[in-house]
Amino acid sequence: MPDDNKRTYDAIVIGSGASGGWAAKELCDKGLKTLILERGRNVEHVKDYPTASKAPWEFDHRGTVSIEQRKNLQGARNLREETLHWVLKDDEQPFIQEKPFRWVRGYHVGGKSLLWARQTQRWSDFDFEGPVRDGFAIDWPIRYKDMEEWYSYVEKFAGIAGNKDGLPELPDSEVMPAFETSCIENYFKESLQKNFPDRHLIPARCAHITDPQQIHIEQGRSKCQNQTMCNRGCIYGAYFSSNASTIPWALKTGNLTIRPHSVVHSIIYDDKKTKATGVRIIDGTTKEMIEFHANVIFVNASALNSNAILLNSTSNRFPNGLGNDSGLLGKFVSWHNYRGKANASFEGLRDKKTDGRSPSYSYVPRFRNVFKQEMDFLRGYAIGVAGGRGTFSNTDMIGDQLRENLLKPELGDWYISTWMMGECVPLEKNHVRLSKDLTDKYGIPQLIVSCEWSENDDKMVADYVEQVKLMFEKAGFINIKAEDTQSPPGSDIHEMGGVRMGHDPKTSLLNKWNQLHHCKNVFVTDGACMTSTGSQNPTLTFMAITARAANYAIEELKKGNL
Amino acid sequence: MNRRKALKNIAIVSGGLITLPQWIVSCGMSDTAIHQTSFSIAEQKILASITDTIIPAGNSIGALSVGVDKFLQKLIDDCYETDVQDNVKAQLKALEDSAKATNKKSFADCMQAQRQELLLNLSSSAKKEEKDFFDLVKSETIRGFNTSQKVMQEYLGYKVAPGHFYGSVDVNTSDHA
Repeated sequence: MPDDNKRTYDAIVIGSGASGGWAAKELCDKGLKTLILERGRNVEHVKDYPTASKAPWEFDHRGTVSIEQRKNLQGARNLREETLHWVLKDDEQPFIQEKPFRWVRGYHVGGKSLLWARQTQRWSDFDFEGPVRDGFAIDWPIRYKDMEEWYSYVEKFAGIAGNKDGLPELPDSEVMPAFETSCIENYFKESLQKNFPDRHLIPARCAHITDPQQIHIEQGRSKCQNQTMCNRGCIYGAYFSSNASTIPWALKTGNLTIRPHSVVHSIIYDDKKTKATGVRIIDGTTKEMIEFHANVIFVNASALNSNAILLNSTSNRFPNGLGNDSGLLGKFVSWHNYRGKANASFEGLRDKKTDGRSPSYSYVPRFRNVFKQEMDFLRGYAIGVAGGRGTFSNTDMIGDQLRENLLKPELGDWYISTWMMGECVPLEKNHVRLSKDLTDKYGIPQLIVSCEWSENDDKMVADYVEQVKLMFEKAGFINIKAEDTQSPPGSDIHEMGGVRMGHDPKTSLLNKWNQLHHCKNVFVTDGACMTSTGSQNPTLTFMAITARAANYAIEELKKGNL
Repeated sequence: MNRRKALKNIAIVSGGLITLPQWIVSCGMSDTAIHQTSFSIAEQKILASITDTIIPAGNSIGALSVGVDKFLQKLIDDCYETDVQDNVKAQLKALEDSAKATNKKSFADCMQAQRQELLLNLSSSAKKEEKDFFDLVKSETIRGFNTSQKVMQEYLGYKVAPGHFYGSVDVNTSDHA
């Protein structure tokens, strides 16, 4: 824990996940004394990955979580011994689901950058121009040309595996060699080329190092070893996380201080200076309120929590939350539609199998309504694809035959599974707000989440289910199952919006540099800033937006504008 | 590549920036640590014999040789609710009783064929508690066996860090080093 006698820094970053880590790195690189406030515990790269690289037999219960350990974790899903150390305790931050919502949080240094699926697809202007072309939400104040250099900038540092695919709807990234796709994915790709020429199956671009460059070696990171245990933390630093990459880099500059166990209460606004002057925290251990001061503040607490912090930052000037003259703070919250799932098997390719393990997947970029509006719903969906050849042991019996079957499993059929990644259209009614009477154990008002599916989402799922069936049938797959899982909003872990960017202060909270229109030294650059959602995994875009905004903030500070 | 070697490599490529945590260095962990169990000596003996009946060693390895009996004790003690634990113990006793009634011997002393028959009677039993017991011990015995170090490494070719993924290889190709 840093020395609390020092209360004033050049910059404060709230949150240490993928975007907060990038803000800290850029600010520290440019010489700003920066304080990261993280509400959870510290997690040091490698040292604090207690289950990394452990084999299945090294776990007491081979993965099952004991009843004792489950006690304060009733709200968590898919508990496993391997990842138990990341799970949020039930009493940490209760929230109110006005409608069903899954809110997955990563409250520790590194945040969800330790837990993400590491998929990094760029946006194109078919995404940035979506709202204005299709008449929903508001126009983005930025375009691909504003983002291109920043995508390249963060990709080179983070390390992205992928191909140069030359697709207009998914601009190429700065890449290292892609992971191989499996035999059945290659076969499916060929079938798509023949039967659906507008549907391109590519190896997903993912934040794994496959050919370490000097910049990665300087970070202390090395090549992916295909352990596929990524969500425990990686001892090789092979996938991008704040812990492996941006945070140690920022620490090396000598300009970064990290204060864990710092639950942000609100941002301090000074009516006389007409700007924000600092951040109030509740110490997670002592419950004491402490203030820290800085000239510039980056809000990267994860989308919904960033909304909560701004809503709770009230002052004479901003009685309804910081920068909230428009009354739109907390509104137009959106997410991704992951309701559609499908799988099938294939009896062909009997003479082939795979070898080793892949940490990534295949990806079919959005093909609906890309070049023009053509369906009875707005926007569309990308498809994640994974396929492999299973092994099979008959376990109907007990005794000697059972042992022989278990020790010599036979190669089974090929299987393939796909998941839908749909763009949700932001609607004003989907919102978050603070409870007037319920607080958490830190005395901070609980967040009310009020989000639901729309007819547009339902139509999109129906199209996905129908189209995947069709694509599987054309490929000759069998045992086809495609369904609408009816999972609640938030299951995608891609919640966005509430503090959206825009040209006009009357209809948006942030300008094109992610500054609050009405409080220019506060920047919001995590998912909360998103005007629309695209169908791509969003973290890469958050990181690029953050690096861009941080460098702008530094220029503005130099000019004395903040 | 084993983990120790993999770690040595990373320390070199990263210029020694990474400190090896104590748990990796001292990691000589056995399959299942010794723990205080709620199973009596007699119950432990029957449970061990059941795992040995489900997966006998034959000429190679079986449930007992990879410690599945100890794994089951710990798993049932720590991860199952009390009603399930109680049923397991009641069924162990019932199994012992029926072994004595049928074969005039303790379950553990019966021949493999006799033990197999006693267990299979439970698998097709109309009584829910008997069928549940059988399904639990069978599925967890298989899990314990299949996730043991010996089976995973020596029979199933498992590597913690394979270091590669080949999407399409001939089925006749032996596993890559």
